[in-house]
Amino acid sequence: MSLRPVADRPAIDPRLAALLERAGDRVLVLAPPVDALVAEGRRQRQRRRTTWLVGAAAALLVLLALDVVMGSPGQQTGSPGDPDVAPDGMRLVGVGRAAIAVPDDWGTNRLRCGTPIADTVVLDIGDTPLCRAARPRDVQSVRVLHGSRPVGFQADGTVGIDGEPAERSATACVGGVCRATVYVLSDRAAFTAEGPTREDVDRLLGRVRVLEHRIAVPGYAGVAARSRGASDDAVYADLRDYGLDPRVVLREDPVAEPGTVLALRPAPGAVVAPGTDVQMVVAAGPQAPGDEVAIGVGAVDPERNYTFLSDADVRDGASLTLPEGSDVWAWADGRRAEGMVARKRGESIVIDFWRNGPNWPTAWEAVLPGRTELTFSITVDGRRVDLGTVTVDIVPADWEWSDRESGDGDRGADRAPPWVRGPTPRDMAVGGVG
Amino acid sequence: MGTEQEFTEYVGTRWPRMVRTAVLLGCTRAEAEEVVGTALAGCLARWSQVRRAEDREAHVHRALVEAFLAVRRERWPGEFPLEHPLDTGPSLIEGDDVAERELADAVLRGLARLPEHQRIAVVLCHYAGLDELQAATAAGVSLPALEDDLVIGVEALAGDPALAGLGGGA
Repeated sequence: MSLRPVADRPAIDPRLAALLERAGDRVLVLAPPVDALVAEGRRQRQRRRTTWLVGAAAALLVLLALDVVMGSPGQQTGSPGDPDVAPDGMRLVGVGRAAIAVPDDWGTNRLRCGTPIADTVVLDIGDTPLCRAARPRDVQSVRVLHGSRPVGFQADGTVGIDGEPAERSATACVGGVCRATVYVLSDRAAFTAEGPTREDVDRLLGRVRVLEHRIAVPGYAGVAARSRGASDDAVYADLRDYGLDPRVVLREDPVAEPGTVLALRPAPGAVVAPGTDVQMVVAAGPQAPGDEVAIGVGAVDPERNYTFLSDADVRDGASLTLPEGSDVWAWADGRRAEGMVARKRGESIVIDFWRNGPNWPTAWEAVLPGRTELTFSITVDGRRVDLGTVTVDIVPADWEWSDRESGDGDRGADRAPPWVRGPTPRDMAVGGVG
Repeated sequence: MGTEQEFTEYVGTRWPRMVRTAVLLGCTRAEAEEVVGTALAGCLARWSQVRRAEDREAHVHRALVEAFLAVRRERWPGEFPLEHPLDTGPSLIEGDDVAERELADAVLRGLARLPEHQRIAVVLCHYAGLDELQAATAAGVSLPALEDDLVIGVEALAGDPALAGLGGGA
């Protein structure tokens, strides 16, 4: 993958090529030891098969033991000898042919400000908001990165993974978190495992493999975070290099430069068949003044649990339910960010008068149970253009969340608690975002 | 065509240039044959992938570079038996033509003075016959990084006084 045009590439110097040719010609080369090479190739192939057969036998024994204990017929998902098939109870994620098996019950990107807060695989994250988040003691995670070697990675050895060369750093433990990285050179895929012990890290990295007949969709958010934008041309070519079939879909985006790849479908990390269609969602550039600004809303409760709403959430009329004592703030990006104002209807939150705060004057404190609506807008040619409204329900600090939350954590306002009052007629506009 | 037959034909045509490539990278002749043998045996073990690879030459040379780097890092990934004893004598360069031997010796010394990544870029592009994209793939670096290494490496050779007087020098 290159972002440089062909014309910029250095030309091959024919004089140097001739010089090397003459020097090379002076090296006597004996006939190739073909039989020995073929024998060695067979031996390596057999060794790989044997490894998988031993694993398969062990898995079969475990399944048989479970049959005896549980009295149920054993089930084997796929062939244990096939690197393209995840072990039972696990799933594969990766980059190109490089993949790792992670438990099915692990989430994806269970992060707070970039820090894992539950067992998770971390895929294709770009810029992350800055805040301090504690990592629970026993959490395990695997970060999958695509591109050049991760920042700070130092290879302490070379290993072979299914016959492909890879680099590995030594496992290091700092602050109760052990960490090591495997970098598969052929697919420019880095797998960083983190866990409470060295054994956890080694076990996690032992599940890295090179797929035979499947491809994992590579991600480009990490690339974009470092290089400020992954252009559609480069991503398109790279996806084709990986044996996938990219298709471009344009989407208006208020912030991203036109041509920036916003998303891939299937999502990065997903393991698919070669030749699979991959939809590239590409920024088409702003089409209307309202598209030239993107809003974000953040909230943190007294127990330091964070919630963030994206621009799409705000425009869809999202809602937040927060306990008293919470803080709410909004920000804007894009060409018209400085013109964004928030209009408040309701009295359950009041403006945070910390004037030196990064989001003043679009920052509020939750002071009373009740409902407040925040409507965000910009002014274009003297006319107000509303972008979206967020409903904020403030509940007493001792309220039982389990009485109200649905299974997926939905904190929607459609089932507001009885003490929530409707918005008052008061309509208070506050200043723009600097 | 069967896998091993295809592999045998491939080895027959590529072996000499790959061994010489390894020598130019900095191997002794004995090391070069072992490096190339290790790379090719590994490729045979996964020949289906090599066959599927969009760019077979880049794929095979990546294995070569990795085997070479493994030798350089003294982390030998494996061994394979040879049918005949290796010539590990002091003379790497063959032939009776003194001028040509001196030229080859000067070129090898000039290459040896380059940093490893620049030497890899120069040899892959100027001797192994790979284009820059193939060489970048083989070296495991981005294309811009490879191009930078190539430019700096070629400039360094061009400015090497030991190579300045050689016919058709860089």
